[in-house]
Amino acid sequence: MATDDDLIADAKNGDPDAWRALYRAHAGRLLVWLETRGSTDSIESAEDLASEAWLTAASKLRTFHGTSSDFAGWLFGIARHLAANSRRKSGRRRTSPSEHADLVELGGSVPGPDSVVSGQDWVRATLASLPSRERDVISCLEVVGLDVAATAAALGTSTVSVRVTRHRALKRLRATTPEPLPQLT
Amino acid sequence: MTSQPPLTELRAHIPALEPDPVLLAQLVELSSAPRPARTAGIRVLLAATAVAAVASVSWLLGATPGIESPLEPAGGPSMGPSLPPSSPDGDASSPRGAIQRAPESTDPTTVDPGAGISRSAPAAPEASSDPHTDDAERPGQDAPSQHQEAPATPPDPPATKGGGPEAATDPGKSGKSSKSGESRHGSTGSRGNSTIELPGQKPDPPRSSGDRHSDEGARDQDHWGSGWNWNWPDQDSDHDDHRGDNHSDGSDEQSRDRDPGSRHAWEWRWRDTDRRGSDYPSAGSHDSVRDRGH
Repeated sequence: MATDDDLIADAKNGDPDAWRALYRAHAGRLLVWLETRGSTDSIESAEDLASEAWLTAASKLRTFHGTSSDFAGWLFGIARHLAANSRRKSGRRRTSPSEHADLVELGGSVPGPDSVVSGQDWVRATLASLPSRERDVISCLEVVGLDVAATAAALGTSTVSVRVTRHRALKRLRATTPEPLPQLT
Repeated sequence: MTSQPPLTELRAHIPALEPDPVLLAQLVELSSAPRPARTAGIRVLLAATAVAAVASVSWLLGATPGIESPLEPAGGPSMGPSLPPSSPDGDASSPRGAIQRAPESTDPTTVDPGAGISRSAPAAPEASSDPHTDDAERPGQDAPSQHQEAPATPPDPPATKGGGPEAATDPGKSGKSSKSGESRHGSTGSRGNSTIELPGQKPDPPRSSGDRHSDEGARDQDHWGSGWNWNWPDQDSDHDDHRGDNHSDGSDEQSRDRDPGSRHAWEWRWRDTDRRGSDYPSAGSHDSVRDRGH
Protein backbone atom coordinates (compact mmCIF):
# COMPACT_ATOMS: atom_id res chain seq x y z
CA MET A 1 0.00 0.00 0.00
CA ALA A 2 1.41 3.35 -1.01
CA THR A 3 1.85 5.91 1.67
CA ASP A 4 0.18 9.23 1.44
CA ASP A 5 2.27 12.26 0.81
CA ASP A 6 1.75 15.43 2.76
CA LEU A 7 -0.69 16.87 0.30
CA ILE A 8 -2.96 13.86 0.40
CA ALA A 9 -2.67 13.58 4.16
CA ASP A 10 -3.68 17.18 4.59
CA ALA A 11 -6.55 16.77 2.20
CA LYS A 12 -7.78 13.82 4.27
CA ASN A 13 -7.75 16.05 7.31
CA GLY A 14 -9.92 18.59 5.52
CA ASP A 15 -7.27 21.18 4.81
CA PRO A 16 -8.62 23.70 2.27
CA ASP A 17 -5.13 24.60 1.06
CA ALA A 18 -4.38 21.02 0.23
CA TRP A 19 -7.58 20.74 -1.72
CA ARG A 20 -6.86 23.95 -3.52
CA ALA A 21 -3.44 22.66 -4.52
CA LEU A 22 -4.91 19.39 -5.75
CA TYR A 23 -7.52 21.21 -7.70
CA ARG A 24 -5.00 23.46 -9.39
CA ALA A 25 -2.85 20.49 -10.31
CA HIS A 26 -5.55 18.22 -11.75
CA ALA A 27 -8.75 20.09 -12.47
CA GLY A 28 -7.60 21.54 -15.81
CA ARG A 29 -6.30 18.24 -17.06
CA LEU A 30 -9.41 16.47 -15.99
CA LEU A 31 -11.60 18.94 -17.80
CA VAL A 32 -9.53 18.76 -20.99
CA TRP A 33 -9.52 15.04 -20.86
CA LEU A 34 -13.30 14.88 -20.47
CA GLU A 35 -13.69 17.30 -23.36
CA THR A 36 -11.40 15.23 -25.51
CA ARG A 37 -13.23 12.03 -24.84
CA GLY A 38 -16.45 13.62 -25.85
CA SER A 39 -19.86 12.86 -24.45
CA THR A 40 -22.99 11.63 -26.13
CA ASP A 41 -25.08 13.37 -23.50
CA SER A 42 -25.31 17.03 -24.33
CA ILE A 43 -27.16 17.80 -21.11
CA GLU A 44 -24.40 16.75 -18.75
CA SER A 45 -21.33 18.66 -19.76
CA ALA A 46 -17.70 17.96 -19.02
CA GLU A 47 -17.78 20.51 -16.26
CA ASP A 48 -20.59 18.71 -14.54
CA LEU A 49 -18.74 15.45 -14.76
CA ALA A 50 -15.58 17.04 -13.44
CA SER A 51 -17.34 18.63 -10.49
CA GLU A 52 -19.08 15.37 -9.67
CA ALA A 53 -15.77 13.56 -9.88
CA TRP A 54 -14.21 15.98 -7.43
CA LEU A 55 -17.03 15.58 -4.97
CA THR A 56 -16.86 11.83 -5.23
CA ALA A 57 -13.13 11.92 -4.71
CA ALA A 58 -13.56 14.05 -1.62
CA SER A 59 -16.10 11.68 -0.09
CA LYS A 60 -13.98 8.60 -0.88
CA LEU A 61 -10.60 10.07 -0.15
CA ARG A 62 -10.23 7.98 3.02
CA THR A 63 -10.05 4.88 0.90
CA PHE A 64 -7.27 6.25 -1.25
CA HIS A 65 -3.62 5.82 -0.45
CA GLY A 66 -0.85 7.25 -2.60
CA THR A 67 0.83 10.33 -3.78
CA SER A 68 -0.54 13.33 -5.58
CA SER A 69 0.42 11.78 -8.90
CA ASP A 70 -1.49 8.66 -8.01
CA PHE A 71 -4.37 10.83 -7.01
CA ALA A 72 -4.59 12.06 -10.62
CA GLY A 73 -5.09 8.55 -11.95
CA TRP A 74 -7.59 7.78 -9.22
CA LEU A 75 -9.50 10.97 -9.95
CA PHE A 76 -9.54 10.27 -13.67
CA GLY A 77 -10.84 6.80 -12.98
CA ILE A 78 -13.72 8.24 -11.00
CA ALA A 79 -14.47 10.61 -13.84
CA ARG A 80 -14.37 7.76 -16.34
CA HIS A 81 -16.94 5.79 -14.36
CA LEU A 82 -19.15 8.82 -14.03
CA ALA A 83 -18.93 9.47 -17.76
CA ALA A 84 -19.89 5.88 -18.46
CA ASN A 85 -22.89 6.21 -16.17
CA SER A 86 -23.82 9.41 -17.91
CA ARG A 87 -23.72 7.71 -21.28
CA ARG A 88 -25.94 4.89 -20.04
CA LYS A 89 -28.43 7.33 -18.59
CA SER A 90 -28.50 9.36 -21.75
CA GLY A 91 -29.22 6.24 -23.75
CA ARG A 92 -32.23 5.48 -21.58
CA ARG A 93 -33.47 9.02 -21.30
CA ARG A 94 -33.81 9.67 -25.05
CA THR A 95 -34.16 13.38 -24.71
CA SER A 96 -33.76 15.86 -27.50
CA PRO A 97 -32.09 18.87 -25.97
CA SER A 98 -31.84 22.11 -27.77
CA GLU A 99 -28.77 23.15 -29.56
CA HIS A 100 -25.95 24.76 -27.68
CA ALA A 101 -26.00 27.75 -29.98
CA ASP A 102 -29.56 28.53 -29.00
CA LEU A 103 -28.63 28.48 -25.34
CA VAL A 104 -25.77 30.85 -25.95
CA GLU A 105 -28.04 33.27 -27.70
CA LEU A 106 -30.65 33.13 -24.97
CA GLY A 107 -28.46 33.15 -21.92
CA GLY A 108 -25.40 35.07 -22.90
CA SER A 109 -23.38 33.02 -20.45
CA VAL A 110 -19.99 33.94 -19.21
CA PRO A 111 -17.24 32.12 -21.10
CA GLY A 112 -15.91 29.29 -19.00
CA PRO A 113 -13.15 26.74 -19.38
CA ASP A 114 -14.85 25.39 -22.47
CA SER A 115 -13.55 28.31 -24.40
CA VAL A 116 -10.06 27.28 -23.52
CA VAL A 117 -10.61 23.74 -24.63
CA SER A 118 -12.52 24.67 -27.73
CA GLY A 119 -9.26 25.37 -29.45
CA GLN A 120 -8.51 21.72 -29.36
CA ASP A 121 -11.22 20.75 -31.77
CA TRP A 122 -8.80 19.47 -34.29
CA VAL A 123 -7.33 17.21 -31.65
CA ARG A 124 -10.73 15.72 -31.03
CA ALA A 125 -11.27 15.34 -34.74
CA THR A 126 -7.98 13.55 -35.04
CA LEU A 127 -8.68 11.27 -32.12
CA ALA A 128 -12.16 10.52 -33.42
CA SER A 129 -10.70 8.09 -35.94
CA LEU A 130 -9.27 5.94 -33.18
CA PRO A 131 -11.06 3.25 -31.31
CA SER A 132 -12.30 4.28 -27.92
CA ARG A 133 -9.66 2.37 -26.05
CA GLU A 134 -6.82 3.90 -27.99
CA ARG A 135 -8.43 7.29 -27.85
CA ASP A 136 -8.55 7.19 -24.08
CA VAL A 137 -4.93 6.18 -23.84
CA ILE A 138 -3.77 8.86 -26.22
CA SER A 139 -5.89 11.42 -24.42
CA CYS A 140 -4.39 10.62 -21.08
CA LEU A 141 -0.82 10.26 -22.22
CA GLU A 142 -0.45 12.76 -25.05
CA VAL A 143 -3.19 15.30 -24.58
CA VAL A 144 -3.27 15.90 -20.83
CA GLY A 145 0.16 14.55 -20.00
CA LEU A 146 -0.50 11.83 -17.47
CA ASP A 147 2.17 9.22 -16.91
CA VAL A 148 1.69 5.57 -17.72
CA ALA A 149 0.87 4.53 -14.18
CA ALA A 150 -1.74 7.23 -13.76
CA THR A 151 -3.21 6.37 -17.14
CA ALA A 152 -3.40 2.73 -16.20
CA ALA A 153 -5.11 3.64 -12.95
CA ALA A 154 -7.51 5.96 -14.70
CA LEU A 155 -8.49 3.43 -17.34
CA GLY A 156 -8.50 0.43 -15.03
CA THR A 157 -5.86 -1.51 -16.89
CA SER A 158 -2.22 -2.42 -16.58
CA THR A 159 0.74 -0.33 -17.53
CA VAL A 160 1.81 -2.85 -20.16
CA SER A 161 -1.55 -2.65 -21.80
CA VAL A 162 -1.33 1.11 -21.77
CA ARG A 163 2.01 1.03 -23.51
CA VAL A 164 0.89 -1.41 -26.16
CA THR A 165 -2.28 0.52 -26.79
CA ARG A 166 -0.35 3.75 -27.11
CA HIS A 167 1.98 2.23 -29.66
CA ARG A 168 -0.88 0.97 -31.78
CA ALA A 169 -2.73 4.26 -31.55
CA LEU A 170 0.23 6.32 -32.70
CA LYS A 171 0.84 3.97 -35.60
CA ARG A 172 -2.75 4.27 -36.66
CA LEU A 173 -2.65 8.05 -36.43
CA ARG A 174 0.41 8.30 -38.62
CA ALA A 175 -1.17 6.06 -41.17
CA THR A 176 -4.39 8.01 -41.34
CA THR A 177 -3.06 11.53 -41.15
CA PRO A 178 -2.90 13.11 -44.63
CA GLU A 179 0.14 15.11 -43.85
CA PRO A 180 2.85 13.63 -41.75
CA LEU A 181 2.83 15.00 -38.34
CA PRO A 182 5.97 16.82 -37.37
CA GLN A 183 8.14 14.60 -35.31
CA LEU A 184 9.78 16.18 -32.39
CA THR A 185 12.81 14.70 -30.85
CA MET B 1 11.45 -1.93 -34.26
CA THR B 2 11.92 1.74 -33.95
CA SER B 3 10.16 3.59 -31.21
CA GLN B 4 7.91 6.30 -32.43
CA PRO B 5 8.28 9.71 -30.88
CA PRO B 6 5.25 11.21 -29.15
CA LEU B 7 2.92 13.43 -31.05
CA THR B 8 3.54 16.57 -29.11
CA GLU B 9 1.17 18.57 -31.27
CA LEU B 10 -1.60 16.64 -29.61
CA ARG B 11 -0.67 18.09 -26.27
CA ALA B 12 -3.43 20.39 -25.14
CA HIS B 13 -3.01 23.60 -23.32
CA ILE B 14 -3.90 22.81 -19.73
CA PRO B 15 -5.58 25.76 -18.03
CA ALA B 16 -4.87 26.51 -14.40
CA LEU B 17 -8.27 26.49 -12.81
CA GLU B 18 -9.06 27.88 -9.39
CA PRO B 19 -11.60 26.03 -7.32
CA ASP B 20 -14.92 27.63 -6.73
CA PRO B 21 -15.36 28.58 -3.06
CA VAL B 22 -18.56 26.65 -2.79
CA LEU B 23 -17.00 23.61 -4.37
CA LEU B 24 -13.94 23.94 -2.16
CA ALA B 25 -16.10 24.12 0.95
CA GLN B 26 -17.90 21.00 -0.13
CA LEU B 27 -14.62 19.21 -0.75
CA VAL B 28 -13.36 20.12 2.68
CA GLU B 29 -16.61 19.12 4.33
CA LEU B 30 -16.80 15.79 2.57
CA SER B 31 -13.19 14.91 3.24
CA SER B 32 -13.34 15.83 6.92
CA ALA B 33 -16.59 14.01 7.60
CA PRO B 34 -16.32 11.33 10.29
CA ARG B 35 -16.01 7.81 9.17
CA PRO B 36 -19.27 5.96 9.18
CA ALA B 37 -19.82 3.58 12.04
CA ARG B 38 -20.59 0.63 9.86
CA THR B 39 -17.38 -0.85 8.68
CA ALA B 40 -16.95 -3.68 6.26
CA GLY B 41 -16.70 -6.21 9.09
CA ILE B 42 -20.01 -5.17 10.53
CA ARG B 43 -21.60 -5.41 7.12
CA VAL B 44 -20.27 -8.91 6.62
CA LEU B 45 -21.50 -9.86 10.06
CA LEU B 46 -24.96 -8.52 9.35
CA ALA B 47 -25.10 -10.37 6.05
CA ALA B 48 -24.02 -13.62 7.67
CA THR B 49 -26.59 -13.18 10.42
CA ALA B 50 -29.33 -12.58 7.89
CA VAL B 51 -28.36 -15.66 5.91
CA ALA B 52 -28.25 -17.76 9.06
CA ALA B 53 -31.67 -16.51 10.12
CA VAL B 54 -33.22 -17.33 6.77
CA ALA B 55 -31.59 -20.75 6.76
CA SER B 56 -32.82 -21.50 10.27
CA VAL B 57 -36.38 -20.51 9.46
CA SER B 58 -36.30 -22.59 6.30
CA TRP B 59 -34.99 -25.54 8.26
CA LEU B 60 -37.58 -25.22 10.97
CA LEU B 61 -40.41 -24.91 8.49
CA GLY B 62 -39.18 -27.89 6.53
CA ALA B 63 -38.72 -25.90 3.37
CA THR B 64 -35.30 -27.37 2.76
CA PRO B 65 -35.62 -30.29 0.36
CA GLY B 66 -34.55 -33.56 1.82
CA ILE B 67 -34.39 -32.34 5.38
CA GLU B 68 -37.33 -32.86 7.64
CA SER B 69 -38.37 -30.17 10.00
CA PRO B 70 -37.69 -30.88 13.68
CA LEU B 71 -40.97 -29.23 14.59
CA GLU B 72 -43.05 -31.56 12.51
CA PRO B 73 -45.18 -33.74 14.78
CA ALA B 74 -44.37 -37.41 14.47
CA GLY B 75 -47.41 -39.15 15.92
CA GLY B 76 -50.10 -36.56 16.08
CA PRO B 77 -53.75 -37.43 15.71
CA SER B 78 -54.93 -37.71 12.20
CA MET B 79 -57.43 -35.25 10.86
CA GLY B 80 -59.11 -37.69 8.56
CA PRO B 81 -62.84 -38.12 8.40
CA SER B 82 -64.16 -40.10 11.30
CA LEU B 83 -66.38 -42.96 10.39
CA PRO B 84 -69.55 -43.60 12.28
CA PRO B 85 -69.74 -46.31 14.89
CA SER B 86 -70.64 -49.60 13.42
CA SER B 87 -72.46 -51.44 16.09
CA PRO B 88 -75.18 -50.60 18.50
CA ASP B 89 -73.70 -53.11 20.88
CA GLY B 90 -70.53 -51.65 22.24
CA ASP B 91 -71.16 -48.78 19.95
CA ALA B 92 -68.27 -46.43 19.61
CA SER B 93 -70.71 -43.59 19.79
CA SER B 94 -72.02 -44.87 23.04
CA PRO B 95 -70.21 -43.75 26.11
CA ARG B 96 -69.74 -47.26 27.27
CA GLY B 97 -67.64 -48.35 24.36
CA ALA B 98 -65.55 -45.24 24.32
CA ILE B 99 -64.70 -45.32 27.96
CA GLN B 100 -64.06 -48.96 28.39
CA ARG B 101 -61.75 -49.25 25.49
CA ALA B 102 -59.61 -46.44 26.64
CA PRO B 103 -57.40 -48.40 29.04
CA GLU B 104 -57.15 -51.33 26.66
CA SER B 105 -56.25 -49.52 23.55
CA THR B 106 -52.62 -49.01 24.27
CA ASP B 107 -51.62 -50.44 20.96
CA PRO B 108 -52.46 -47.93 18.29
CA THR B 109 -52.43 -50.56 15.60
CA THR B 110 -55.44 -52.36 17.07
CA VAL B 111 -57.59 -49.30 17.36
CA ASP B 112 -59.97 -48.49 14.60
CA PRO B 113 -59.75 -45.03 13.14
CA GLY B 114 -63.40 -44.17 13.48
CA ALA B 115 -63.93 -44.44 17.20
CA GLY B 116 -62.78 -40.99 18.13
CA ILE B 117 -66.18 -39.39 18.37
CA SER B 118 -67.85 -40.54 21.47
CA ARG B 119 -70.04 -39.02 24.03
CA SER B 120 -68.67 -38.19 27.38
CA ALA B 121 -71.02 -40.35 29.33
CA PRO B 122 -70.31 -43.07 31.83
CA ALA B 123 -69.80 -46.61 30.84
CA ALA B 124 -71.83 -49.64 31.57
CA PRO B 125 -69.95 -52.42 33.23
CA GLU B 126 -71.39 -55.23 31.19
CA ALA B 127 -69.96 -53.83 28.00
CA SER B 128 -66.46 -54.74 29.08
CA SER B 129 -67.40 -58.36 29.33
CA ASP B 130 -69.08 -58.34 25.99
CA PRO B 131 -66.75 -59.97 23.49
CA HIS B 132 -68.37 -58.08 20.65
CA THR B 133 -67.19 -54.77 21.96
CA ASP B 134 -63.68 -55.66 21.06
CA ASP B 135 -61.85 -53.14 18.95
CA ALA B 136 -61.00 -55.60 16.28
CA GLU B 137 -64.65 -56.04 15.41
CA ARG B 138 -65.42 -52.39 14.98
CA PRO B 139 -64.20 -51.07 11.72
CA GLY B 140 -65.16 -47.45 12.12
CA GLN B 141 -63.70 -45.94 15.21
CA ASP B 142 -61.23 -43.23 15.79
CA ALA B 143 -58.63 -44.11 18.35
CA PRO B 144 -56.98 -40.76 19.02
CA SER B 145 -60.18 -38.98 19.93
CA GLN B 146 -61.14 -41.91 22.03
CA HIS B 147 -58.00 -41.50 24.01
CA GLN B 148 -58.71 -37.88 24.44
CA GLU B 149 -62.10 -38.31 25.93
CA ALA B 150 -61.44 -41.33 28.03
CA PRO B 151 -59.57 -39.59 30.86
CA ALA B 152 -62.23 -36.90 31.13
CA THR B 153 -64.94 -39.44 31.89
CA PRO B 154 -63.46 -42.34 33.73
CA PRO B 155 -65.60 -45.44 33.97
CA ASP B 156 -67.86 -45.35 36.90
CA PRO B 157 -69.99 -48.45 37.04
CA PRO B 158 -72.10 -47.43 40.06
CA ALA B 159 -72.94 -44.17 38.39
CA THR B 160 -74.40 -45.87 35.38
CA LYS B 161 -76.96 -47.73 37.41
CA GLY B 162 -77.65 -44.94 39.80
CA GLY B 163 -78.76 -41.46 39.20
CA GLY B 164 -76.21 -40.92 36.50
CA PRO B 165 -72.93 -39.11 36.34
CA GLU B 166 -72.49 -35.42 36.58
CA ALA B 167 -71.93 -35.15 32.89
CA ALA B 168 -75.42 -36.40 32.29
CA THR B 169 -77.19 -34.42 34.97
CA ASP B 170 -75.36 -31.18 34.40
CA PRO B 171 -77.22 -29.25 31.73
CA GLY B 172 -74.09 -27.63 30.48
CA LYS B 173 -72.23 -30.85 30.13
CA SER B 174 -75.17 -32.54 28.63
CA GLY B 175 -75.22 -29.81 26.12
CA LYS B 176 -71.63 -30.56 25.28
CA SER B 177 -72.37 -34.18 24.93
CA SER B 178 -75.27 -33.50 22.69
CA LYS B 179 -73.08 -31.30 20.63
CA SER B 180 -70.57 -34.02 20.14
CA GLY B 181 -73.36 -36.34 19.32
CA GLU B 182 -74.56 -33.93 16.72
CA SER B 183 -71.20 -33.80 15.09
CA ARG B 184 -71.34 -37.51 14.87
CA HIS B 185 -74.70 -37.33 13.24
CA GLY B 186 -73.28 -34.90 10.83
CA SER B 187 -71.17 -37.65 9.42
CA THR B 188 -73.78 -40.38 9.80
CA GLY B 189 -76.94 -38.70 8.89
CA SER B 190 -78.49 -41.76 7.36
CA ARG B 191 -77.94 -43.68 10.50
CA GLY B 192 -79.36 -40.98 12.69
CA ASN B 193 -82.62 -41.22 10.84
CA SER B 194 -82.76 -44.96 11.18
CA THR B 195 -84.66 -44.92 14.42
CA ILE B 196 -86.64 -48.03 15.03
CA GLU B 197 -90.22 -47.45 14.32
CA LEU B 198 -92.16 -49.10 17.03
CA PRO B 199 -95.80 -49.99 16.94
CA GLY B 200 -98.00 -47.14 17.90
CA GLN B 201 -95.41 -44.52 17.26
CA LYS B 202 -95.67 -41.68 14.88
CA PRO B 203 -92.76 -39.64 13.73
CA ASP B 204 -92.37 -36.15 14.98
CA PRO B 205 -92.07 -33.23 12.64
CA PRO B 206 -88.56 -32.02 11.96
CA ARG B 207 -87.17 -29.67 14.53
CA SER B 208 -84.75 -26.87 14.56
CA SER B 209 -81.20 -27.35 15.68
CA GLY B 210 -81.85 -25.58 18.95
CA ASP B 211 -84.62 -27.96 19.78
CA ARG B 212 -82.35 -30.82 18.98
CA HIS B 213 -79.79 -29.67 21.46
CA SER B 214 -82.28 -29.13 24.19
CA ASP B 215 -83.92 -32.45 23.55
CA GLU B 216 -80.58 -34.11 23.50
CA GLY B 217 -79.74 -32.86 26.95
CA ALA B 218 -83.12 -33.83 28.30
CA ARG B 219 -82.87 -37.22 26.77
CA ASP B 220 -79.49 -37.78 28.35
CA GLN B 221 -80.93 -36.91 31.65
CA ASP B 222 -83.81 -39.26 31.15
CA HIS B 223 -81.56 -41.94 29.89
CA TRP B 224 -79.23 -41.96 32.83
CA GLY B 225 -81.55 -40.81 35.51
CA SER B 226 -85.09 -41.94 35.19
CA GLY B 227 -84.78 -45.11 33.18
CA TRP B 228 -83.22 -46.45 30.10
CA ASN B 229 -85.85 -48.35 28.17
CA TRP B 230 -88.07 -45.39 27.56
CA ASN B 231 -87.99 -45.77 23.82
CA TRP B 232 -90.06 -48.89 23.73
CA PRO B 233 -93.80 -49.19 23.35
CA ASP B 234 -94.49 -49.65 27.00
CA GLN B 235 -92.99 -46.27 27.90
CA ASP B 236 -94.93 -43.22 28.84
CA SER B 237 -95.76 -40.53 26.39
CA ASP B 238 -93.04 -38.11 27.50
CA HIS B 239 -90.39 -40.08 25.78
CA ASP B 240 -92.30 -40.47 22.61
CA ASP B 241 -91.20 -37.03 21.57
CA HIS B 242 -87.78 -38.34 20.84
CA ARG B 243 -88.70 -41.17 18.59
CA GLY B 244 -88.72 -39.22 15.42
CA ASP B 245 -85.80 -37.09 16.42
CA ASN B 246 -82.81 -37.22 14.24
CA HIS B 247 -80.68 -37.68 17.28
CA SER B 248 -81.85 -41.11 18.12
CA ASP B 249 -78.32 -42.31 18.23
CA GLY B 250 -76.24 -44.71 20.19
CA SER B 251 -77.72 -43.69 23.48
CA ASP B 252 -81.10 -44.90 22.33
CA GLU B 253 -79.61 -48.06 21.13
CA GLN B 254 -77.68 -48.42 24.29
CA SER B 255 -80.82 -48.16 26.31
CA ARG B 256 -82.31 -50.92 24.26
CA ASP B 257 -79.25 -52.97 24.94
CA ARG B 258 -80.26 -53.12 28.56
CA ASP B 259 -83.10 -55.35 27.58
CA PRO B 260 -81.67 -58.87 27.63
CA GLY B 261 -83.79 -60.04 24.77
CA SER B 262 -83.01 -57.18 22.52
CA ARG B 263 -79.40 -57.34 23.41
CA HIS B 264 -79.18 -60.81 22.08
CA ALA B 265 -80.76 -59.56 18.94
CA TRP B 266 -78.22 -56.77 18.64
CA GLU B 267 -75.41 -59.19 19.02
CA TRP B 268 -76.78 -61.30 16.30
CA ARG B 269 -77.20 -58.33 14.06
CA TRP B 270 -73.69 -57.14 14.78
CA ARG B 271 -72.23 -60.41 13.64
CA ASP B 272 -74.32 -60.25 10.56
CA THR B 273 -73.10 -56.74 9.84
CA ASP B 274 -69.51 -57.77 10.12
CA ARG B 275 -69.99 -60.57 7.73
CA ARG B 276 -71.50 -58.26 5.22
CA GLY B 277 -68.71 -55.79 5.68
CA SER B 278 -70.98 -52.88 6.47
CA ASP B 279 -70.30 -50.30 9.08
CA TYR B 280 -73.74 -50.20 10.57
CA PRO B 281 -76.98 -52.00 10.03
CA SER B 282 -79.52 -51.03 7.53
CA ALA B 283 -83.17 -50.44 8.19
CA GLY B 284 -83.90 -54.06 7.53
CA SER B 285 -81.63 -55.16 10.30
CA HIS B 286 -83.49 -52.90 12.68
CA ASP B 287 -86.66 -54.61 11.74
CA SER B 288 -85.12 -57.94 12.37
CA VAL B 289 -84.01 -56.75 15.75
CA ARG B 290 -87.42 -55.59 16.60
CA ASP B 291 -88.89 -58.85 15.54
CA ARG B 292 -86.45 -60.89 17.49
CA GLY B 293 -86.51 -58.80 20.58
CA HIS B 294 -90.27 -58.75 20.85
